[in-house]
Amino acid sequence: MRGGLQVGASYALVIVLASGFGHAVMEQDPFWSFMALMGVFATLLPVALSRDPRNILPWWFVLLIALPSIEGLLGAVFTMHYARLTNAAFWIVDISSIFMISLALLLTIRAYSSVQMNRPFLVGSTFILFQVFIGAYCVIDYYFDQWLGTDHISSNADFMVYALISMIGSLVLALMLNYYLRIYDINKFQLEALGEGARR
Amino acid sequence: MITATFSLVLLGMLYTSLMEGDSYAYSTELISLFLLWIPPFLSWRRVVDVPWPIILMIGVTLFLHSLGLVTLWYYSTFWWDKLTHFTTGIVVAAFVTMGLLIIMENSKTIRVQPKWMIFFVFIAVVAVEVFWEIFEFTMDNTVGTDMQHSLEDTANDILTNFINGLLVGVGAAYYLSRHTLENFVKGLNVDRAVAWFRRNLTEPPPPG
Repeated sequence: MRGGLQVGASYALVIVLASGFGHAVMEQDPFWSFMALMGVFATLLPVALSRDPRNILPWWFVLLIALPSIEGLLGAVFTMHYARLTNAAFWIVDISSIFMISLALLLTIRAYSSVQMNRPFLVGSTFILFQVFIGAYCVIDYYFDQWLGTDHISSNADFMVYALISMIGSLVLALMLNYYLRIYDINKFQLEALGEGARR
Repeated sequence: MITATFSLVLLGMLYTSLMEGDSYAYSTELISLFLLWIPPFLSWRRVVDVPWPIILMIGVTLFLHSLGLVTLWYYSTFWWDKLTHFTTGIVVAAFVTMGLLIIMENSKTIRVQPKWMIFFVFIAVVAVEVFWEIFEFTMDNTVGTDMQHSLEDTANDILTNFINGLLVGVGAAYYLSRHTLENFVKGLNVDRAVAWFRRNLTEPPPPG
């Protein structure tokens, strides 16, 4: 059973995610607005399905999801246009967040629906769902750039480099997750991530 | 029969392209002929019997692609590229669905109910499209091909496959709600391929 402090930390991070959504909307950044909303959705979905507020994702899970929001908010506080320490940090933050949102959604499907997934299928599906978000990034930002006159994706090469590095990053994370679940057990991990409300 | 008919049509186009000296068109038609004969080859080698509607769709897709090159409709008709991407997406989605169904039928620990097929087929199809775009970009920057044109093109292609994924996912869910998975996979004759995968790519069971 999770302690009240841990659950409180997760809810505090949901507030950060919601603020990140507000900030991304103000910045006219459609993809990260969408991802912040997806983050809130993925974090609170187990709570809604189990009808138990303690079954929110653990704080470390939500922290990884909220990293881009934290980064964006820090940028706003320190009056930089956008906090970008180094390119490597930027890639790690974005890729980790999208990967954890994908994993949270698929774990919730595994726990609360009749779908059965073994370890390789869960890891493979997480990797695949990650690519869908990258595809959504291209479609959403391209059409919003056309509509709002913004310049989130400046060229095809700009997007393709992002997609290529994201694919490699997500592959590394998928291999790490596969290794972790091999030694830790997928059901134990699911229980730890989603709490005791999961049906299976 | 389907493969032979489309082969004749493609051979006609190959002849036209050779006469015109269009190297891109005739090399594409040669590759198309090769691709067209992969399903009969796989059936002959008893790897998989691809269902005839998918073979027909492959033929239609390769025909439309070559027709666009021979008639130059790729350059003069703005929607030709969208049409071929749409039909290609349907073929890819059908193969992805087939793969998923084979995995499900042969695994004791994976179960996806028909309504959830929409989601899993959708994400698989969009992911394949993203991989394809990355492949095109890599080829353009290493081999020097000219497969990718613009950001607009990339965004439209991905959007097209969002639609394809949904359509085929709904189709697969509908099909599975009326037919048994077992019968479908039985008709594919994949036993030999599955046995090979089990023998070579799966972990041995723990001792005892």
